[in-house]
Amino acid sequence: MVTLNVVRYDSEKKQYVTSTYKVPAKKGMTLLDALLYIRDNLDGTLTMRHSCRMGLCGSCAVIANNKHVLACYTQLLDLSTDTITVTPLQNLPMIKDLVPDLKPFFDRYKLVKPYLIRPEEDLRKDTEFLQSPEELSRYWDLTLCIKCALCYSACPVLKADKDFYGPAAIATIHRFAIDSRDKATKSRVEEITRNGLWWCARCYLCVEACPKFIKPGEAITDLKVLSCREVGVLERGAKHAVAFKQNIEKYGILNEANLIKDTVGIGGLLKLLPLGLKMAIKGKPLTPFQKPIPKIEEIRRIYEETRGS
Amino acid sequence: MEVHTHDIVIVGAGLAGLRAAIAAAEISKNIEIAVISKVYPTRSHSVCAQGGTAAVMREGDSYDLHAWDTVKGSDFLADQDVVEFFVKRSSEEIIRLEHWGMPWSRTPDGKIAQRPFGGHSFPRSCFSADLVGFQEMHTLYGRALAYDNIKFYDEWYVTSLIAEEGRAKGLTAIELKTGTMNAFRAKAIIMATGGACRIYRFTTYSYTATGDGMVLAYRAGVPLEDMEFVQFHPTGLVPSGVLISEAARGEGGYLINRKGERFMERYAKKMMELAPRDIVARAEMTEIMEGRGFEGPSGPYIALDLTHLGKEKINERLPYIREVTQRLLGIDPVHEPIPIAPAAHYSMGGIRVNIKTATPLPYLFAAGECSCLSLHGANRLGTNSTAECLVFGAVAGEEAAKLALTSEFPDLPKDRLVEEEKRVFDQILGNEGGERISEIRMQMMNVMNEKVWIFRDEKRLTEAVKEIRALKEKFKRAKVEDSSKVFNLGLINALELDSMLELAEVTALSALNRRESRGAHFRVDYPQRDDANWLKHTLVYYTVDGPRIDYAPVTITKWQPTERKY
Repeated sequence: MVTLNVVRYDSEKKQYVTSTYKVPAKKGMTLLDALLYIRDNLDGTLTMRHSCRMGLCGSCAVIANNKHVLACYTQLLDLSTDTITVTPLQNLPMIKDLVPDLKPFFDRYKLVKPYLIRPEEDLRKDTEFLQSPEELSRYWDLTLCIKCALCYSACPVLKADKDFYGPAAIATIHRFAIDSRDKATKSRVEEITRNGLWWCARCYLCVEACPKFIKPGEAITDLKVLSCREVGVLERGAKHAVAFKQNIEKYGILNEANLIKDTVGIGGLLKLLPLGLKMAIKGKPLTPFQKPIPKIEEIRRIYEETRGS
Repeated sequence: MEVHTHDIVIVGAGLAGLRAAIAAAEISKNIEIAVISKVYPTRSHSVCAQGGTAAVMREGDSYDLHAWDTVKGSDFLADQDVVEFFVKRSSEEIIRLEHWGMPWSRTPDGKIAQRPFGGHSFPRSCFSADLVGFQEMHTLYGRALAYDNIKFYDEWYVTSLIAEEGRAKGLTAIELKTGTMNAFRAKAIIMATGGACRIYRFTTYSYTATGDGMVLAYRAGVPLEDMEFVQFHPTGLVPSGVLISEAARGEGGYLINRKGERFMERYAKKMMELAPRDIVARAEMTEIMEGRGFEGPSGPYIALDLTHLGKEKINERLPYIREVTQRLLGIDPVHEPIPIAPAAHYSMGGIRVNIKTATPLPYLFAAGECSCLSLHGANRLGTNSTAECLVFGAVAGEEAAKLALTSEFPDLPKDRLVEEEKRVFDQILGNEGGERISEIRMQMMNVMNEKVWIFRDEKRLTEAVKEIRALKEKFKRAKVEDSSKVFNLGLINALELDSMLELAEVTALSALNRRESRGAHFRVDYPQRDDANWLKHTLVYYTVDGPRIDYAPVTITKWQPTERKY
């Protein structure tokens, strides 16, 4: 027997309520099977989205024991516990029970133009655009996104700012930016650079949450590199990344004062003087004067070897 | 009741629905298209299609060959004018999708690759690893977002089709988020709601693919055609029914019985595992019935063996199959055979339409699996369904657009709207009876699985019709456990069951009526094909006194029926 504590949103009272159920667990039973068992036998009001039960449609995304999962792709017995707490996705307005409103998530896609962009006359050609298997493999993984919103739910930046596009949408931009057939790479990269590409905090919680192992966080990092090349180092996030890299190459250890100066300029550094004073009093003074570490040549050699790769 | 007015309303956002929307949107920016789907579009069952999309594209293939393969595969029930039209349009759909971003698998020189598939005498299956439906869906959805004149009504459930004065006028639909009933008014309506196989217990279908659109049309007086022809896909994963693509056999997989034999040699010596699906499904069923199946905790099964293909080939051509068997069963097909059994997979039958996807009810079109042209006759070849959705989805969109440009908006009869609200909210949601929806559903699925399966006979078909009618009566006393207004899945399940019971009755009745064996419909008591009496389509009409059966002739252009051997 497995106990399921399901945290459900009550649409009338506008609050969360927990319902507890006991489900007979069998080998091969998925979390979705357990939830459907509850619907059919214990509580016909328990509501959750589900459709394909084969990990392709993305309907059944939930959080089980704090893990972001697809209910249909999660073996009940693999959760290795007698008690499973199931909660709905985060970062989205709630409708009812385990059903969030996905409109904010899907609305992002209209913004990122998820279709090949080519001049009109190309689209009228009656043969395919050539693409080698190698070119296809460069973006293939990113096409496997099932739009389940698990990454969107896991993203801490979205907790802070609902205007962030979210990992899935940004990874989609990258999918088209590196599709050899697309002719709008530059404008795609420009657009997202101006619209929050650098708000991504590189926490990689989206990579952990993705049930298809697409690694949206890595796609975003790759897109940031592309952005520096195509658009330049203009946004604060870009400056921070470049400053960090140069800082380590110069000193072998991170010098925060110089990192801040190179990211936000002398003006920005001066604004942080009160904070700097407090830190000095507590015994952690920030100073721009930094001696490179011993054997700094070894670090610089790593930079030499990997330059351009 | 709020009334939404759009030039074209499309019900269903799978491959056919999305393709129709784009086709209509491209005809004119001034045409306003609404796409109503009870699930978000990328949740549609179309994403589960795996194997590929057939098209004549290369030297050595020909339209006539693809057409002949399709006609022979259909056991000569397909309408040949439809088939000839279809094979000529498929390749342009492949190219058009590619131009919209479809990640087709490629040959070393960068062209769209094609692989062999069951029943085709030329390797003409364009593929995208083993995820063709998924990739086509996401490509079409992404592309559809580029048009300002396509509006999506996501998670709206259509409850009725309003037909009056001999024409389709509009629809009623529940917005799941608020639970309110709304009406739609349109110059043209396209049904693209998919097939009926959720009436069975062991099926490859998603939970949400319940065939509602077929019943919307049926109850409005449109006949359902050839409903007895249900395709049983040879390789449904045991015990869930999840589809294991025919591509697994296309890439060289074997079907093995308990004695270790590749038994297909006894049933289709030339094509072996790549014989058409009805032949393979019957072979597997025979092996199981004669005691040569494996015994498992969830019932008997056959082994699909891919171990000789090697890890590299499986990872390149069948990565999703590997993933899903590992996730659902803990089995790695690189090392172990996969347990499979035949599963209800596709409706060859559906809403009767002509070659332009128009139903007999003016202003109503239908495309995709919910329709019957008939392209597939008594048995469908793999990779012809995704192709059908693209070709005829486009035709439906084009035809609906042309009609909309020259038509006026109809007026909706207010009394019908009031009636429908009463039917759904008072009769069904407010029902105080003692029967349970989930129980009635399970009983229906069991009847279909046991009595309207691969091998059929008069006794069990007659019992099936009787039992389903009893279940329809039981449904009138069924209580919906969820009483909330917001997102009432219980109410939707009840409405879906209402549809499915109708489809179960029509399917069983059509099967009882056809006293011959053809394609996927096999009668143990009439095991021969009987062209003299039965080379015709079955039509079932809804009447207040029960379904009425009629017939329609098969259109033959080039190919006279011959013996069907592989």
